[in-house]
Amino acid sequence: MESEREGYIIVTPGTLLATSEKKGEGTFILNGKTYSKFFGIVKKTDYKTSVVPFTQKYGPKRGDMVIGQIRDFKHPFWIVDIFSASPAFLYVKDTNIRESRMDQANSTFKPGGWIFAEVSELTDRVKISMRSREARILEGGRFATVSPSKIPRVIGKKGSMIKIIQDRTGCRIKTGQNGLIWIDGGKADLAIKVIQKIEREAHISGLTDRVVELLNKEGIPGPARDENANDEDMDNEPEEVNENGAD
Amino acid sequence: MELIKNGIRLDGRKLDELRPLNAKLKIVENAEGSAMFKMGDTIAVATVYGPMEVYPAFLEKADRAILEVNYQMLPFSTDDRMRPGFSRRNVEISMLIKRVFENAIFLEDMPRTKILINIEILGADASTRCAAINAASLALAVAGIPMKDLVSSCAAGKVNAQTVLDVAGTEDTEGEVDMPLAYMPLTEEVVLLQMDGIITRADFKDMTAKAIEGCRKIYEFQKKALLEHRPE
Repeated sequence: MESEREGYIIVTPGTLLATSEKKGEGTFILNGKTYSKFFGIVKKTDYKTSVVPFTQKYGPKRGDMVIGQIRDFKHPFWIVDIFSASPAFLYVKDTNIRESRMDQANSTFKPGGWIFAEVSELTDRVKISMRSREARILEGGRFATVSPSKIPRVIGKKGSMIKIIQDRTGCRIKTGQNGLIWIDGGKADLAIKVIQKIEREAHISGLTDRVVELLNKEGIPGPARDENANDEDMDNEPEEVNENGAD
Repeated sequence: MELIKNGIRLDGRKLDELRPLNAKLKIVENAEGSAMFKMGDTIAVATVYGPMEVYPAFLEKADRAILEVNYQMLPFSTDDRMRPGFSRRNVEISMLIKRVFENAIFLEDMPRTKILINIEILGADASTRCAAINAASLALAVAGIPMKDLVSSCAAGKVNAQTVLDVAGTEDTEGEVDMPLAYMPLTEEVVLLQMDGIITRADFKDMTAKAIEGCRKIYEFQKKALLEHRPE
């Protein structure tokens, strides 16, 4: 059985997707037919049929940026909780701390502290690295969690969605592929509200319009980083309105 | 004791009629997946955590995930107070529910991890293990665990020399035979079959057919519950 709502198809485990063998993720083949493995949404292209589950624990992929919490230090690595099935390991050689200056190490990476790091290796254990350009230690700020499968919608096409939220609320935001979002400064409450809206409505098209609408309703009409910057941004405002209309 | 009169049972059901069903999803926020399944007065709540690390580490399997199932009846679930904690019955039912789901879950997709299923029985009025399996099946689907199919379960029985579907209440204590059965409609596999009592071969066949038919109805209900669920 499947249910079609606003152009997307929801399936349950064991739903027949195709009567031939199709490639794709989240599916399995039984007696030459393709069935769904998950409770989620079907994504069909010409050569692939995939099912994306609504919620799932994060499975690390190489190159992903993740937000993690440091649990413990056992030379030569830190054990970092990245909210997936197994913990990640941050080796001292993957940080900018030299072996000769190990006295710095435990004050820089405190147990309970948060980091934004890159998944660098997936062997028998998950290794993360601080050597990436974007990687940093997260101090202060607040966290929002969404399902890892919805992170692409929070970021948007080429980061368009996250840019809108950042510009309108004046927050600094880091999105981890593992479903954690770090928000610092600005109107953090509003940013969290927007992110919750995105999570609820991630599968319905026209999301950007609705997010802009919500931001307008909250009384933030244009890009407003702070009061001083407002005057400079005035010129851009009509442009942005047009842009939204064209969306 | 007369339990069936003119083809109508004590609670007003026909011989092959299920008790009223009800299901709720995502009722426990901290769990990856959770569900409540209600069959008449039998209520089961299942919560699924994981995949997660395996402790102690020697239980870890290099090629597949392991399952841990904790089934327990809460003190207020029965008429007399149920003593909470360890009991042989809880251990037995946890074990057989674990074996049921080992057939349904793609354990090899998640090596070196553990999936934890906790099942609490809030109300016990016969076939608690069936309600437990139905609830756990929904909770696993919500948690995004890869599965072959949803598992549905219901019981058939023999009461007053007649075969009936979904034994409940007095029928369970006064009836002759109770036979819980779990079924996966996609592969037509029977993954659980237990029975106590003495019956003929013909009755057994009849009861199996009735139970499978009941499982198919529950399967459709489970699918409906999943597809019609809307996040608030």
